[in-house]
Amino acid sequence: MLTLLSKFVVVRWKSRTRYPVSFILGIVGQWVSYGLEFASMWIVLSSFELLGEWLPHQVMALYSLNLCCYAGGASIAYGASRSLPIMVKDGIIDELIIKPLNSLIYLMLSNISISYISHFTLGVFGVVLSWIIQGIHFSISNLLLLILFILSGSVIHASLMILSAIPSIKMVGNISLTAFYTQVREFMYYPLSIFSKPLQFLFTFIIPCAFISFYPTSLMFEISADNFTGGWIAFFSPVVATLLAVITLSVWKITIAAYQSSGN
Amino acid sequence: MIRCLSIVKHAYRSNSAYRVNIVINIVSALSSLYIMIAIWNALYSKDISHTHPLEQTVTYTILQSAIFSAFHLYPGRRIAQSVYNGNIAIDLLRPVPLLGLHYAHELGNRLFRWVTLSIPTVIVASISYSILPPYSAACLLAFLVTSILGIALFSLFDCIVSYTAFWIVDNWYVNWFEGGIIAFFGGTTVPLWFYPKRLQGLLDALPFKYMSYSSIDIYLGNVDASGIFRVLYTQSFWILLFICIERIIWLQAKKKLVVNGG
Repeated sequence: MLTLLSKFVVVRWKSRTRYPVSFILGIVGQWVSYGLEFASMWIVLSSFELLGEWLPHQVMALYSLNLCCYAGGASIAYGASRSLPIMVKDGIIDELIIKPLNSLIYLMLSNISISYISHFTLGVFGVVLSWIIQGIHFSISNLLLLILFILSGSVIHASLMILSAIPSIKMVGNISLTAFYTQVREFMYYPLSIFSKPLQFLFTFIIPCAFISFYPTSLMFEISADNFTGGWIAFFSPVVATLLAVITLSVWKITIAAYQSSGN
Repeated sequence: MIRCLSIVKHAYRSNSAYRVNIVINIVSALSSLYIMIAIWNALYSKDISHTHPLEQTVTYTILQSAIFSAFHLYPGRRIAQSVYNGNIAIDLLRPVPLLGLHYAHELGNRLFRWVTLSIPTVIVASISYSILPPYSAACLLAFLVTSILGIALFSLFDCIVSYTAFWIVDNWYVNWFEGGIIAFFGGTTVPLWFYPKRLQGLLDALPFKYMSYSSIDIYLGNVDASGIFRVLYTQSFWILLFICIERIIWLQAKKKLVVNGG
């Protein structure tokens, strides 16, 4: 599996860097776009000083961690979630099913993207900057914890992307659910505690996006999570990520098993 | 003109094929509004001493995200896409000017989005949150006129930026620059009144605040009569300048055109 993954990554890297100017400008463009988005948010936060109980640099940490996790998840799942509805619409999903490999894994690997390097680098920069402002030590244990949270968050993002795309197998041509997930993702850029209790419940127990960045940042910055759980719940992020990945694989298998091709 | 209108109609109708999308899009738009308004509520709950009250900021957010985002036309992006996939060869053969063709397509798409998304969203949002009415009838009229000019300004800027596709073909990254710059300097995510004073001079000198921010500011009654005329003059100046630039680039672009595919 790892050999296959590395081969796909190499192929993608070669195809993307075939036009180096385009590749580099793409990265710079995404830095500019996300950087300016955060700059406007920073202007507002600095003008008010507090968002709920969160200071501007703590919101930056939350935003940046989410960006890192999104980069990880989107690298392996965004292309798949976007191409699945098109494949169903064009009737070429059969190609996927007859491969001698788990069809979901193949779909994700064949749509792997290296373009999210810009999101990731910007996210890491934001996390490092916010740690420096907060005075968090760059100790081995803290760094390991951060890596664990990034990995867990990436798996949660990837699982949710795929889960939002799976209904398109039944509802041919429908891409709105994947767009809806993009909207859900917006919630994760801000402290969950500023939203209503039902939403806090929803994003903790039903669509567990809060485990991507909210709980981990609350824990690392020792901010009291102003809801019905404490920061300690962040330690469940890897468990939630594993569970969600298993659910995604199961839903995929059930949906593909019931799929009826319209081929000739 | 009649041909363009039939393209608008066709684009509008082709959008209505996926009805489930309409509901999901409305839910997405409302959730986006909810996020923004929750943020403003949280910010204002700690500090209510700002020059612009919460109601103005909430109204700004609703008008910006429900009305303007739905009506931003991207004819240039469509042309760039057409260059990339080679469809430009067919587009140029059609009995409608290239720009008119893509304007009409965009208008049809956006009209559909406006009817099925913006209007329901504004209705639901006005029930859920307190939207301020226009400051006066004159402000409403000025808001409508400057909004149309702002939308024209936005689409012309999109054309100028997207025509880079004629030289570099795969210009996908240009959209990132365009989106980021308009969002920051045009105040599409955060009202520009929150920006520091030292940035205001720069914001006034650039065209981006006249794409939608100024119109909403007029709606809210924050601009006096002379200010409204200043906005109208400035918008007209930028539109004329952008039309000239667009035409010059288009003349050069035609010479650079390479049709992909075969």
